[in-house]
Amino acid sequence: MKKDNGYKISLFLLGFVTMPVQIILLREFMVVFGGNELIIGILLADWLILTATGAFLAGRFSKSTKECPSHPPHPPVIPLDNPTNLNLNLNLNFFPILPLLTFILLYLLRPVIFPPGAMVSLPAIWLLTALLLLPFCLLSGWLFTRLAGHLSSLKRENFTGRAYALESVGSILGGALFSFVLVFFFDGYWSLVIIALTTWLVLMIMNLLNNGWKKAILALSLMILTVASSVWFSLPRSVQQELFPGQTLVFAKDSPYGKVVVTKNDGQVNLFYNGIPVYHSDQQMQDEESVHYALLQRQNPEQVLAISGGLKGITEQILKYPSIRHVDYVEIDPWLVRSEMTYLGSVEGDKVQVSFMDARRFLSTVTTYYDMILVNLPEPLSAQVNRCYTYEFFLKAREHLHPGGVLCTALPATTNYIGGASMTANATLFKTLQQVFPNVLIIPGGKNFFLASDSLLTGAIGRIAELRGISNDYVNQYYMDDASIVSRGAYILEQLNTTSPVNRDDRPVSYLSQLQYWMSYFNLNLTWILLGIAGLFLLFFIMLNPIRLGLFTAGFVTAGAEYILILAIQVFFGYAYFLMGIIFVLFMTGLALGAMFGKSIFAGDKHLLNWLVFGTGVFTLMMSALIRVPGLAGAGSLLVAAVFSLLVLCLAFLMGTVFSHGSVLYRGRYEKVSGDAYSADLIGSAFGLMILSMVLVPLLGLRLSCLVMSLVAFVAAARLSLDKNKL
Amino acid sequence: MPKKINKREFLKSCFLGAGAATLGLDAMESWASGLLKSDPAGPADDKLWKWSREAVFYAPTARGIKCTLCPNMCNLREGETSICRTRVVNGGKLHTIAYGNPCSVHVDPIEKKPLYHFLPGSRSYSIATAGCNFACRYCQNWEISQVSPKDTRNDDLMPQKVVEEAITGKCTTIAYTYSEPVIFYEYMYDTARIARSKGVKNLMISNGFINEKPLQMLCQHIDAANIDLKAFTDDIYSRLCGGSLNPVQNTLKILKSEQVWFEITCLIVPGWNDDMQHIALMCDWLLANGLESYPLHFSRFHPMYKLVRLPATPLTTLEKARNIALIKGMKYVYIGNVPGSGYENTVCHYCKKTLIERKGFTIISNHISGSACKFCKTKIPGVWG
Ligand code: SF4
Repeated sequence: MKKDNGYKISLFLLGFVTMPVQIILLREFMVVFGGNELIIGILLADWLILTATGAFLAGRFSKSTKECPSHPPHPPVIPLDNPTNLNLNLNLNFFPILPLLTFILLYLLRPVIFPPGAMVSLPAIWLLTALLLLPFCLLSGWLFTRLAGHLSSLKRENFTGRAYALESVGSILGGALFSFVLVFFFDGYWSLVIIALTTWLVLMIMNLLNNGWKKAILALSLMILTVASSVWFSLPRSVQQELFPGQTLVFAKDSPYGKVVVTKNDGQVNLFYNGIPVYHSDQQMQDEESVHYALLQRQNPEQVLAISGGLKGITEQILKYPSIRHVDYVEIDPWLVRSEMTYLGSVEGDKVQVSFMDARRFLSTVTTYYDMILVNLPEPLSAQVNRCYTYEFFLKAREHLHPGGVLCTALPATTNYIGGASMTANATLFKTLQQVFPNVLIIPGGKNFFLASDSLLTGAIGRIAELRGISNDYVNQYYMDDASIVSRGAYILEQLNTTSPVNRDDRPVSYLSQLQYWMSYFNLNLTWILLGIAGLFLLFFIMLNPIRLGLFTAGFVTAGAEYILILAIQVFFGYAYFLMGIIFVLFMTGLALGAMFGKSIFAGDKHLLNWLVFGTGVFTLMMSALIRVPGLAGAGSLLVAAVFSLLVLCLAFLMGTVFSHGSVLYRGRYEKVSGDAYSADLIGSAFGLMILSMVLVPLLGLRLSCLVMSLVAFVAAARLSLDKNKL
Repeated sequence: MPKKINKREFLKSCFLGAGAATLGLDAMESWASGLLKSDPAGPADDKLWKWSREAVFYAPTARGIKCTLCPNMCNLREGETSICRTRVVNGGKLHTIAYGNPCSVHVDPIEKKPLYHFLPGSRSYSIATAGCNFACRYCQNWEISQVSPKDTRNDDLMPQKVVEEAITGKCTTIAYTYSEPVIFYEYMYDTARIARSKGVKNLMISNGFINEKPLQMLCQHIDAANIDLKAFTDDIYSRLCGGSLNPVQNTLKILKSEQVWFEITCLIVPGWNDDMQHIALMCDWLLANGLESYPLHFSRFHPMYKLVRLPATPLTTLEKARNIALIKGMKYVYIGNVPGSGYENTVCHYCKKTLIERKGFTIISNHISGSACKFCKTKIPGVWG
């Protein structure tokens, strides 16, 4: 086997392992710590920064490869069978085992470090995540630099761009293998095992072809050891059980959308979704509140749409009304409903129809009109959930309501006082609903229930419950103190700021206010965190040398633009698992193509980097215009899909080209070149994701965020032009 | 013989091992959370304002001033704010900044407190200022309990005005509730004194974490209390709420000796204080101290505040706790937060007939006449009107 092929396959394997591991581990971290936009941002940033550090350090501290041709060769090329390469091989062998250890440690450490069932504060999540991801991410960055450096040495030319392309191809295959195949058959842990086994198998064959039978035996031993110990210790269930002290884990399933867990304690069945308890047996109180505050408002409700909330509990309450003819129950994750039906019981009769779909997608596909739309989703702590709290969503919902129909949605309760952060969150929702419905009423209960309608609404719940003769345990004349409901509802209204912004698809302000509310649990100030991130970004932007700045900026703009594109796609199409998968494949393909061929297309001009960075700015400028193209939302979905796919592909191609072009401009040892280029790109991406998701999008909206990104790209391009001589 | 461990425990100890313990990982969260903290009880809080009064209980120490109101015994210097965020040192004296400035004012049915054996069916004018001497992980009022009065929007409601408002609102009682009344002691004390002189009764809904002397003084003006018994070990008390058990036990004994009517609430949190052996020990202690006639409310936990990754308490757990309490000899044991369970009715401890049928906060029927069971004439402990 040719020596350079060994390195190429290794780079491919690096991507093949890293991408699915990133998807799987980040999912598991979200299950263990929660999945709001801040936590997702912190997890991704930890990941990218640690990988960048590994790549950077490998470039600085390894002296095994030669200098780029423009500099005197020093030190000499090291033959491939020297000890350094043996280390590289060993590291590759141990590389896939790290995610498995991280997985196990994550579940074992959580209950040891943090109290049972308690929320964990952001700094603690950040620290523990960094600690747990450290070995894998550092090694993955380190391996990229070393492999790319060795390959460049061997080829006697700067191979960093193509190394990047090879890694991207590995990422496409690894990512696609997990997202389109493994996720449907295996849980996260066993998917990691399969990825590891595949890697070891390839390494084993490679070593056998090179007569490295000792290393082949090592790979085989690792395969046997991993499978045997996983089976022997009943992984992952035995460690997942640790998250549920005092309960018995009876079922766990990783679906493409999330993790469903069913536990039992003292005869009660509890259903968890991504680590949060969502339903349990004996929860009449919550079910009654979610249904009757709205349904009692009208004489004879017939058609009801219930978005999530628990199939059995919610529909049983709805079906108490004899006038009901049809109930649509919408849940994105089929496994949530399946587990509920198995462990909590199913629904009788043929009045209920269940659809497994994103709520927004559902509303844009059906033609039914409803008397009631009940939205039982968690509070908008992420951009994805926030889509069901926006002006556009409510507008769509209203289109599907009969005259006099009622929409019900909710936020966490503000029991006896409404604090600053919750006031903003409640005010935004109230204001948003008010833009669509002439009547909005708040019923303070187990949550703050927001009822909205084009007809009058009443807070005299106890009285109408008695009048309608619906027999409830909780929502009845005995528990509902109408005077208190009205006065407490009025109290909340009095406190709400009437100048609050409206939560829109392209300016999702609600999730920022919800995040601020969440942060106030820990007495932490979101503003300081955001300012800190912005300050660090500026520091990087000012201090980096021109080439690094180019890569950093391109990484920043690309990651940010990708975030916006995904958000926009979800707004246009609703969340669809396969669509997201295709977007991912397209992105990585664009990246690989750009890294592979971009350099030859734009060859010749050594000052092209500034133009390429400028190009990313122009691209985001176009994006901002496109997002507002009138009528795009109404255009044929195929056309919109094609437009977005093209955008994703172009963006990634541009980034790949910037990377390969930028890396060519570097001087110094090959490994330093690869390490510097790779780390600058990753750090830029980390900032792009954090700043866009936590600051720009919620504060400025999609369009203005694009404009800010363009501005950043233009400023960087201008700096590159001024510093031309240093390139 | 060495203890046998299962595969899971083996795996756990292999991974965590002694290393984790020596690393002191459990200190990680508090350390990490210390970063970026924007504690509202910052320097601005030590300034006096219209709603400040000199505290009643404090003593000078070599370090500064020690508050002797609750067992936290904060030792403060000028510029520092107490654990409860309501006490500051100014001019060498301790001051409260929670006097006449409630942030929460509502009228509630008395059953909501819960008080089942005290003027059933009456309405209570309920007030709270910001601040608390505990930090319960499941606090439903965390937006007021974990901040300083300087960070909440407050009413200007001096004691005299509170009493007037209660009378205007036809409330027979004033409840000092929601956050923790101990930390607005001076405000509660003065209000209670005036209220009593006007025929309005006073209720303290508290964690019972108060020192002996202030409690005894307060008992002269308080008519009833509901005391949370949050766990029955110091360790759980400290990890769940940041308090300790012994002072709360003392409070119950003092209330009894001062003849203040009280009821006990025990919120059962899965995985924390749902060990039935602890429940049994708690009941043993209550009986040993002659507290069997005081109602005990086992309450259902719902995921709240920082404890959102736990399920609600199973009804069976609550029933088990109730059965243990009854078997041990407690006379009145209720289950709260479970509508329709039927465990909210008052049943005569002697003839077992239902005396008060409750549905939610509504009294459906009441068979207590002259403080006694209408059927068997047994005296029913409580204050009935
Ligand atoms: S009342 Fe407040 S200041 Fe006084 S000891 Fe308790 S916590 Fe400290």
